[in-house]
Amino acid sequence: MIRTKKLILHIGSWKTGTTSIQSYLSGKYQQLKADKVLYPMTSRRRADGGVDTAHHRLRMLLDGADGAMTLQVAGVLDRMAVELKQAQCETLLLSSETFMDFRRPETLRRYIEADEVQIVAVFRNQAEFISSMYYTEVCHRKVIDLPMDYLDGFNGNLLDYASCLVPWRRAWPEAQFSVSLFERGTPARDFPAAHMMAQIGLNWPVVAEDNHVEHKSLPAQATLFLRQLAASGWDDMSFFDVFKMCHRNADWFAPVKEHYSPDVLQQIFADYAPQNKALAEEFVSNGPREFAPLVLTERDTWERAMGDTSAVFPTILKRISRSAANACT
Amino acid sequence: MTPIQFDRLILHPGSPKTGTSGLQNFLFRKRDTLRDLGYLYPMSGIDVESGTAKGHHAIALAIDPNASEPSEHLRAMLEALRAEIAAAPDKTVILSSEEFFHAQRMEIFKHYLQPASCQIYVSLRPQYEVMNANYYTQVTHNRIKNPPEAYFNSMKLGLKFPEIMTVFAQFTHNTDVKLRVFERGSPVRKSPIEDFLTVMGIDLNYDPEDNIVEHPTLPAVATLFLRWLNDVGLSQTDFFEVFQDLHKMRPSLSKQTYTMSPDYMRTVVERFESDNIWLRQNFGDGASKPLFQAPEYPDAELWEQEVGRDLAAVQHKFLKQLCTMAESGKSR
Repeated sequence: MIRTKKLILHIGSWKTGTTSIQSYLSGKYQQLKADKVLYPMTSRRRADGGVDTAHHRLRMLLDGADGAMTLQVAGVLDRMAVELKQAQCETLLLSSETFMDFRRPETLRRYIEADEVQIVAVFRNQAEFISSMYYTEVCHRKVIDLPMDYLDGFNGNLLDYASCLVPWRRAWPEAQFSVSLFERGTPARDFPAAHMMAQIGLNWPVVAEDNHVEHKSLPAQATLFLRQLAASGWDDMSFFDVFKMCHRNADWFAPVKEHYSPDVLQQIFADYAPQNKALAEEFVSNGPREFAPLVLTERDTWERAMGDTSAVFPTILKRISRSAANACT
Repeated sequence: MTPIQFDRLILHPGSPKTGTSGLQNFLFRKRDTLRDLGYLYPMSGIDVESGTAKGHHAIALAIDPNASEPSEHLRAMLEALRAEIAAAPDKTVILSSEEFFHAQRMEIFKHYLQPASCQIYVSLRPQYEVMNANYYTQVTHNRIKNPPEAYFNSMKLGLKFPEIMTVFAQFTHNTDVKLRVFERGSPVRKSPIEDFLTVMGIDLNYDPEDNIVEHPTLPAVATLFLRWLNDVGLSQTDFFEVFQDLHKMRPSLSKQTYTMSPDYMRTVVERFESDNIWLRQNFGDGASKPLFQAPEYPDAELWEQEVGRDLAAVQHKFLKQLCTMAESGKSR
């Protein structure tokens, strides 16, 4: 059992600058500790000696244990308790967007006793979320599904944000929920780390250099180009080399960012309107309470760039080979 | 069917990858001049629509070694050929197609033609070069996906030069086989058209510009990259556009031409050594030595470094190279 004065859980969601926030928190470990906030190393240390920026492994262990106290879970909790005691901190801060689909938050409550609990979450409109997730899955997990196949197989529960938060409120009815929307012009989107610090009441001077965008999205055609490399079994290093080249040469691709047609995205957004209303009424605590209407690429432009998914790889390859040939002549 | 009887035949059955398309294209374009000189380069069996391939491939390909009777299609082509020959009775007939480089087809074909005399001009290329060049053609024209060694393993079983040469020698009772060696430094390799004209005694002026080489062979890495595009399923049009771009880049690409490893080349040379000695004894100068010079093997280390056996690594490296070249073009 871990005993702390305050527990802060940053539970995501995905595609809301979580990596940027976690990198920031990880980098400010000592400074946080000086302010009596522990962002524990426990469950972030890897077997290879490196340190992850988030507590994904803790979530994975808890999920694997399925509510039971396994040796591995006990080991992590013991080490975290020791780390907290040694650090003499009053607040324990954990962050992983994978907590968002953790169905048994009450397990965590059994292991961590806190006088005060704060749950921080940020949500992005479902249309942007799914399109952005597709990019991440292809480029980072080398998923080879085409966009519509990916959408068909996607766990729709993750798009019902209010329902994702309900188990957390059931586990900690007294918790403070700090819930915002990842909307243009808001701190949550413009500077996720600064927003996070403000949410947890640490009003440090967060400087612009701390606003790292870890995974700047590529145009949608680039995702499909890279998907073909993944489908051809490219190893991580070679894939990443081309990935970097794509980042340096965004003009190889049509300036269209959505992996789904405007019609599909509008439909997704409309489908979740009732759930978003519940989110606004029950959870959103600051900033805009509703998602703004979608700003999407014009339909014909999207169709030209992405309408025929099988044509994207050859189109981009030809563009590259033509440029290379021109460079030689 | 009744054999086509005529005075003299010059048959050019390749072999494949010895400049045949260039020669056929030349003979086709010069057929009026040839006619004035006493030669008939028939239109029968030529697919006029197909690029620069102006050989008599359709006749050769229509011969089915397993069929007891010629097909209607073949019969029609042979009758057209008979009519062309009958219309020019005093002409020497020239037929050319590397598809005749096939023992079973030739065994059948000889029943359809009955020239009083026959000269067969055959150029042979070292087996390892034929295999390598054929792989390129198969990848770029027939869009095969086979890795090189799998292709080579299957192909070497069919390379039976002594068997086919024996069939050529017995094509008619009065056949003269002219064997030409297509290897570095040889006249036929330097200029296949000029060599053909000289050896066959055809008094036709030849300008090197008449030798149209449609697509010189690409380096090995580019061939292996194109093989990957076959695997990925690029359409013919898309494939061809990339193929043309790679041709423009040839000066900037690795110079390694063999998709075949130096080790594999050695095994091919050893496997065919006795065949090649037999060929020289029976169709060359009679010496008990191989028909072909010893190969110039690529430097093994350099080959491994620039080409190698890891197909995935080659395609990755090549796409990265393309991207880098495309990037450099922007910065110029």
